[in-house]
Amino acid sequence: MKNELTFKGLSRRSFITRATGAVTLPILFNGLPLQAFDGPALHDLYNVEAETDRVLVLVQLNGGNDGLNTVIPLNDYATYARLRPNIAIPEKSALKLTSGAGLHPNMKGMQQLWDEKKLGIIQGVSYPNPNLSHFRSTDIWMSASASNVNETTGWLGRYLNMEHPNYPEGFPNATMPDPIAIQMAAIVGLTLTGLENQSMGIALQDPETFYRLVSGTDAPGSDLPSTKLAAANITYVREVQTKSMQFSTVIKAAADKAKNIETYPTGNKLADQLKIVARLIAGGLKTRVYVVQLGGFDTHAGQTDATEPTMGTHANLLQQVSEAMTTFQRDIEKLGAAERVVAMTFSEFGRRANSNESYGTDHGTSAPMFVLGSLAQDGIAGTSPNLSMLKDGNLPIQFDFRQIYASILEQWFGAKKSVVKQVLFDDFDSVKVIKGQTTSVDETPAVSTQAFTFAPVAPNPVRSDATVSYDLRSEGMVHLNLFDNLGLHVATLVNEYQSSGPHSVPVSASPLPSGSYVVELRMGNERAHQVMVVAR
Amino acid sequence: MASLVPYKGTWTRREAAHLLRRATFGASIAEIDAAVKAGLGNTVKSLFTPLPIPKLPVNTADGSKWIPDAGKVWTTTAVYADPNDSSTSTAYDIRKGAGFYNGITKTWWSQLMILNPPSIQEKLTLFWSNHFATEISAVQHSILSFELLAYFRANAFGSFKALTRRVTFDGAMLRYLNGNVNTKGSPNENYGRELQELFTIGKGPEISQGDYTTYTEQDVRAAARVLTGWREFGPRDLVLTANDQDLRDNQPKNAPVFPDNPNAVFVLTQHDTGDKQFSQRYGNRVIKGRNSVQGAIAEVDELLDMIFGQDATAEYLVLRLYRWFVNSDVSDEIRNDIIKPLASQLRANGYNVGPVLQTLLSSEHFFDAALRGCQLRSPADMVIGLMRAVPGWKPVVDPALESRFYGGIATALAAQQMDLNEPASVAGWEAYYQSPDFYRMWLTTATLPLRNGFTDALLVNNNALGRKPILDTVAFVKQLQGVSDSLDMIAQLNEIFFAVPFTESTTMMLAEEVLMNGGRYYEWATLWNAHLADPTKSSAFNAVRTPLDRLFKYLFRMAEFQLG
Repeated sequence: MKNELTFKGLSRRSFITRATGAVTLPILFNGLPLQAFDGPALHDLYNVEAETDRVLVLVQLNGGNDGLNTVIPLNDYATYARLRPNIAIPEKSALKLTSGAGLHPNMKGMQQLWDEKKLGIIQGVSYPNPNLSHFRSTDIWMSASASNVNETTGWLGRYLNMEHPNYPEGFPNATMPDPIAIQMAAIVGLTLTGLENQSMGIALQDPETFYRLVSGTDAPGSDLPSTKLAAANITYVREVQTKSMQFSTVIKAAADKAKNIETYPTGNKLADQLKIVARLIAGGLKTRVYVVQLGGFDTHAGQTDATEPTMGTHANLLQQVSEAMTTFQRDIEKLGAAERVVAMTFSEFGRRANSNESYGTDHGTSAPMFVLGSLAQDGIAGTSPNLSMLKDGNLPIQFDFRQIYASILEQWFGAKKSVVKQVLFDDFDSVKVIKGQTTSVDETPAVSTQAFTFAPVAPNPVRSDATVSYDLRSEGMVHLNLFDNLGLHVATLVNEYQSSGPHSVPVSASPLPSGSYVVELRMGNERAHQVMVVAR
Repeated sequence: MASLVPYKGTWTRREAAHLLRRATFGASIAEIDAAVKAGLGNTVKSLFTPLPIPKLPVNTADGSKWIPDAGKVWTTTAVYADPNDSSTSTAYDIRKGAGFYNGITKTWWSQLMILNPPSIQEKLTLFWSNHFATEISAVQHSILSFELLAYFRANAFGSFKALTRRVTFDGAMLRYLNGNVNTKGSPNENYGRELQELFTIGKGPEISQGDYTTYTEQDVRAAARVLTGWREFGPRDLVLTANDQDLRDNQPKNAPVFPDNPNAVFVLTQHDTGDKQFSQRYGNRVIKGRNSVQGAIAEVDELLDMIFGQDATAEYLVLRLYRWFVNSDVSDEIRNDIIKPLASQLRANGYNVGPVLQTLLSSEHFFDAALRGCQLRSPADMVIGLMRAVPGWKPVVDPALESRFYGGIATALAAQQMDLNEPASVAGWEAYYQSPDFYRMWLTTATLPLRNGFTDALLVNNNALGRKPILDTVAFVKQLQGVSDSLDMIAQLNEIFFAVPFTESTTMMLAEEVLMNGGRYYEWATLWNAHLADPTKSSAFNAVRTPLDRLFKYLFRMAEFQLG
């Protein structure tokens, strides 16, 4: 029995184009629209375990980045220019990404990454009842709480704590010899605060200095004073001491092992941090999360030069962001770690749609986020902001930031949906932020009908070749078809009369783009489906 | 029950050191002993004696004056100083940039904190610079930043309301929170918001959208309109760019309006003369719009009267002071027994903070044994405190070396995340508001090693001191009694430097494993007595110096030492 995949002449490139632009055909998977089974549902279905070699670099832009001058709404340029006549980026200066959106002219590097399909933009990210205080809103983003809840733990802290339940007790150990998370600063932020209010990360500024200063520290003592508060403080300091000592050697070793290949821009604080992050990743640290930050985005005044709106404070900041992140991506590619790293930006809020007379903008609400990396889902999620739907001068919300967090946890770290719900306190619909599904997929049950038993695809996910198996209770006409996650027919695997008993059909997934697919087995009126995940 | 009743318990080195550690940055043995002798009441009183007005900092490179006399402004574009001829150096040299002069301010400030006699004034100056945060590098005007700092120092235990009024009209603040571009028709809400959220009434729970219990978004907008029309005097002269020409030309028309505060000017055409309607949080108060300088000042005063008429304002400041001087955790009990009574006292005496702090620092609650060590040392407690605790060091007479020495102190503070006048944001340093970690924010795997580096360096020969160490450990312990008993010596060092006593086993460990490097604790007496018998003999001196250096280095690296 010979089955050849026929792809109807679609190249991989045109396949992607078609898949993202096509009208969805209603195909049902065990009674539900197939799309519902993309991403998180699939992961939950397959009980996916966490990927441990994947790294998230979280880039915090402190002060509230002005989204409208970062991703310029070319869809409605006239309204944009009317709302902020003194600071509007000229239409022709914007680096055009789509007909509706362009980047700030200082973000040429990010534009290149867009062209290479390594940059995803999520438009209009905020949360219900947005808070306009820097501090409160930063806490909300870091803790992933609802805006009326004061949560003292951080979203990544909670997630990493669930992955490493007893931390810091028993850490480091053989499976996690390195810091679980590193913030490239003197202080570890709320983002990394774990379930017991312990920080899941360590603060690090420079591996060499760190090593030099820590070496020579004696092991901290163990006895404690009788007063509770003092004892708690001493215990805390000892933990910090212990962590510094434990990690100074591994961090230095990692930093020594890898050298940056790209030349990073100088005078760029974000680049300074990412430069070290690249070395630590390439040097083999198993650290899952790095937090880096750049401040100065609170541009109430002088956001742009008075005479040249493409220049000024904000232009300089975006240039730093773009150059730092592009160099980092190039470096990571050359260091061979590109498939392991994505970077995501966030800021506590965007800014008011209308500018003020001091060439600045006041605190606002929703703004775009960037997800960047070789495996970042490229393209724009959501639409350019609707400038005629302002509320008190603020842009409408398209995505709750917790949807993006959920998406990163599910699609990048492969967290189970149940875990994500615990981390984020609620269910949030995910958004595609990562290309394909490259996590491991466990066994799913076989599906039995009166006509046949349909075994799960094996192996799953599949990198090159997989086998589809089924057992027919009686002979008959068999239709075995492959559909993509939009319900489009991709290939006919079997279309013939077959005898009763077991059958195996080889499937070559090599020509398929990464992603989730559905194999449908049909005999007469009986149908069943198995999911096949293609990963590379 | 927490109580503000005056403390009447034991009064020894331990209690005196606790008071001086919190109310100042740290104290020498002589200062601690003087406090023990004077008693609690007199010590607290003396801490509130105003310090002499310090000499203005000069350009350390050439001794030139860059800050105008009190109540004056530089009215011409700054004169370029010839570094070789100090007689030409009469003003701020714009070509050096704000960073240069801000560096001088930080160095000068560090020196004052270290050298001034024991006083709460320096610690309160730091408190106000954190409470009314301006980031000196964002203000970009060293004279304005200096003058605000000088005001904080001069009024450190004066009226909170007067401080707020000055800050509202202050040139550095007008620049930092964009009051200088807050104009009629285009209000900039930045200062109007932070004035309420962070500086005075504080933000309560958001009970509905835009309603923060104590004030609302409407009040932010209304306050911004009250504050329209003010800007700083002449700063653009000093950082002149091509685009500033017009404003500079306007300057003669806008004379300063406050004799003691020459930095604020008022531009009537930029003032919103309409009425300002506040929310029900302020009793639906309307502030009538006015059409003159005096009228605009009256509007601001009505705004401040309105805010300071609310109980929440006094409570908010007392809470901030409590977190600065006592503890970060504020339970309902503390709120009722300590914060509220002190807030009533603050209101009753016209918002003067001095008496309120005297009540607090003399109280049973302040000396509650359960609260000892509830703080972690801030970088200033660590760095300034140690410099103050160690007597005897003296920079060699060389202005360049001296300024490098104190500049190094400012740099050490900055590296440990307490860059003077440069908090992380307008909310000030996170250690004083970021729940639940508070003081722990100071200590991380990045900053703890830096503290180790700083204390280690105290024992190393320092060029600015003529190749001597800051801390001469042998001379230091000679201030104590009964040093030949190593256990007693360690107990005394504990009283002076540590918030909580060592356990017996720790004391023994320090004596035998650290001081005697594996020997017995009583063997120390032989070494010490040999040194006393012939103090000039270098082998006997080294025989006690090496163990003492080892002991001090270890003590300063102990987790216990980080307790404030």
